[in-house]
Amino acid sequence: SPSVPMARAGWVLRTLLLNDESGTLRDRKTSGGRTIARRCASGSELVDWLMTMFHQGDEGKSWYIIIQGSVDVVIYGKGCVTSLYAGEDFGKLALVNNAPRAATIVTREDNCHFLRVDKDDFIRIMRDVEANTVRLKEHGKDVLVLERMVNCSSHQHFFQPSDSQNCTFHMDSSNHDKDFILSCKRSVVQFVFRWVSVIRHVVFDDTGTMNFIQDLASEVESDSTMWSGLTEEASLMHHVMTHMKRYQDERAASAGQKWKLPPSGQPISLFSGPVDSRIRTMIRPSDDIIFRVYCADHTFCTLRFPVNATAEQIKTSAAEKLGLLVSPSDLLLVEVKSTGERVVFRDNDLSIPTALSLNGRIFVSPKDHLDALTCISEQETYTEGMDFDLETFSAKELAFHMTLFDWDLFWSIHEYELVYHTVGRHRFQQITANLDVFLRRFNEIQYWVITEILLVTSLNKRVQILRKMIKLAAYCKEYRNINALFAVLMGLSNVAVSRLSLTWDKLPSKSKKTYTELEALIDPSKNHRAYRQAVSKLQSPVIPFMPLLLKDLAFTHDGNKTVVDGLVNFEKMHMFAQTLRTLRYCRTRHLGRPLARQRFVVPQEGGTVGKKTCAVVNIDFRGCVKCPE
Amino acid sequence: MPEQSNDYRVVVFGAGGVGKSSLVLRFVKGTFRESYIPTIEDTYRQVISCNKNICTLQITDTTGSHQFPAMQRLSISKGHAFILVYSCTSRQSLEELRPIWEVIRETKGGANELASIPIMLVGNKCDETENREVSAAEGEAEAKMWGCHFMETSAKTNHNVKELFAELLNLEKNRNISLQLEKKGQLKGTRKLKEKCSVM
Repeated sequence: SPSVPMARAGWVLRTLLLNDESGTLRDRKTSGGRTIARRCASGSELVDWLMTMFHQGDEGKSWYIIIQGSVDVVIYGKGCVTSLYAGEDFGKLALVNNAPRAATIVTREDNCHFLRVDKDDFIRIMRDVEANTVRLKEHGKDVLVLERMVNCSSHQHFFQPSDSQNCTFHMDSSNHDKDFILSCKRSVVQFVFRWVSVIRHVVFDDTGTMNFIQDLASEVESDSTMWSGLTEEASLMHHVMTHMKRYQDERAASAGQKWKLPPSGQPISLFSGPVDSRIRTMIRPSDDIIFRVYCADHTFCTLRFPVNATAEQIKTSAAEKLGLLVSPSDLLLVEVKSTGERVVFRDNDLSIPTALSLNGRIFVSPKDHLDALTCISEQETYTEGMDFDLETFSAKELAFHMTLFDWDLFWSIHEYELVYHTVGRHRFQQITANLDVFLRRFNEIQYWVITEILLVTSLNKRVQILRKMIKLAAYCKEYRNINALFAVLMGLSNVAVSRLSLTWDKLPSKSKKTYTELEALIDPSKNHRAYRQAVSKLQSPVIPFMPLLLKDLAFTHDGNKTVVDGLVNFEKMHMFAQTLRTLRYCRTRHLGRPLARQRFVVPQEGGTVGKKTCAVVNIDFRGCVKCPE
Repeated sequence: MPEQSNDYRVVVFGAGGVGKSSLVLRFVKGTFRESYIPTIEDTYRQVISCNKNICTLQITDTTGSHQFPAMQRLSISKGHAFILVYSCTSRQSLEELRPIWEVIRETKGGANELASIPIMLVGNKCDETENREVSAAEGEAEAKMWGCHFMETSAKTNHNVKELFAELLNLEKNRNISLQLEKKGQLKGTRKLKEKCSVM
């Protein structure tokens, strides 16, 4: 690692200078949260310093080596571009170029120790020490390389754009420090590898980044034939390339998928796609989705748009098809929920059809006629699903297949979708369709439970269904499908169900006991302590209770500023990351499909295999109806 | 259903940006707009007096749960008292409370039962007189229509914040609770409850 020789050099330098000229060197030390005390090496003078070492634009007076601790390098408009750790140095550029400071340096932790070399001394050292290279790093890549050529008084600049495209290493065969270059190369490759492993396929969605990775891979490969020390890095890049290839193949194979938002309120499902529809694939921004848009008199048109179409595009097209002779600026795209509530979409919002609430409908309306929008008649009643008898399935089978289905939905969600959802899709111009579908699923299960119970007219049969639902919840817990567990429990605790006192009275005491135990998990007190404790003990794979993760994110977002004094609030970003890490932990292991344990063939949406199971997995949603008791 | 009687739960509802969290933080910590972390359990707890005993006031902030009616229902069914917050600077935020009000009415049963539950309609940000969209009289009228109580507050200037919670606890007729601990000296080290307070 480059830091070791640098730190060693720093110490040697320090010792030498301390012996020669003790006045030129000073140590700096932070004490407490905000101050840095400066200690002269020759004495014990203590001076308070601010947390910031220097600001961008300041005159450069000194060069610093980090002896202990770490600093952030912050540039206006870019935020923190890199962090430097013990052994690394900063502040050279302004001295070499006689230019103002190019960045602001902020200490990242308490008790940082720096070695400071003042400008005059620095120039003296520079004169004496030959072949100096100044490198500026941003996000793990060199963006500026300043090199002092031997026998040449001027400095040569290599400017490399920070947009990652053309990042190649500057190679100088005459450079003596091959180890240094090698270790730099290693860190770049390792950084790229970690980056790709963390962010996964989103990295490959950007053409620029994709080209960069390709270039890097081929460079590393040719380097590795020359330098034996890069073999491991070459295999890392090979790994990244394989990953990218697989993703590209997957994407190409599923290109042209069409989804549909069924008009009667059933779940969003694949309408047609090139892939075997048994495998649930993720919804991509360019996929088409088919949906209806209504107007005030309940006439409708069916539209087909890419998932990432904006509300503005949809309303313009819908108005045209429906013959609304109003200019688009006077039109609104509105969701009318089954409660009659109206929610207006922003013009630049996207993933509109997937973001609808359960049993909601999209309407287009002139601005001043918003009050005239009413529910269509299908919204007032429950949705018919497939005709099947709940009694023919055991609760265990139901829970098992629900978990398989839910896992596929959960697996399709990218962590970024949670951030887009929290901060606003329109701000990123990114879709949240996979997350939307998973969230819908929660409500689908919940209302399915309520509806199944309420639609039964015979008391004895209702008791049986209630009992089965409680067992279903218990099995969902066993399969670590906490999202479905909560959905079933919340369905059962819905007032329409919980007030059925005759039914609850006839419930066997064993079921009652199970319910009471499970119900304790959904207790929201102490900010869902019961749930958090229970989940922290579970091993991956787990399907977590998604609404709570989103609530935590929303809470963090509302309560903390994103930018403080022009700087990104990393505390907030860490909080975000913490929640996303929880999600990631749940998926560290993939839910395998233990075929041997499976009693049915994995059901296919709308397919012919195991038609009954199909209905189970694709649980039909029926709007909640009130049942007299 | 079993009732944990040593907790008195207050649930705060309101659209995004009306200042729910600010209001709660102002009350619990005495500060305005401090950064907060969602998973800290003790953030919203306060020790109060209940039937001459010590009891924990738990405030459930529903920020972020508006998309999940189920979570709101859950908070309602577990809540003892409710604060519905809108912003005086946004008529829309008052409108958005109506569906929540409907859910509370639905969950907590008939008009008689509802009347015994402390519910307060709160117009926050009353300090922003220039941007005001909802007058105090309009808020009052709305509250009357819903059959609940009304107050205007400002978490920013700390206007009426403590009064809001004090008044809310006053409205609880089933228990005798107040913010004031009767004997402050005894409180130290005896946070645990010895007796449970009775719930009707």
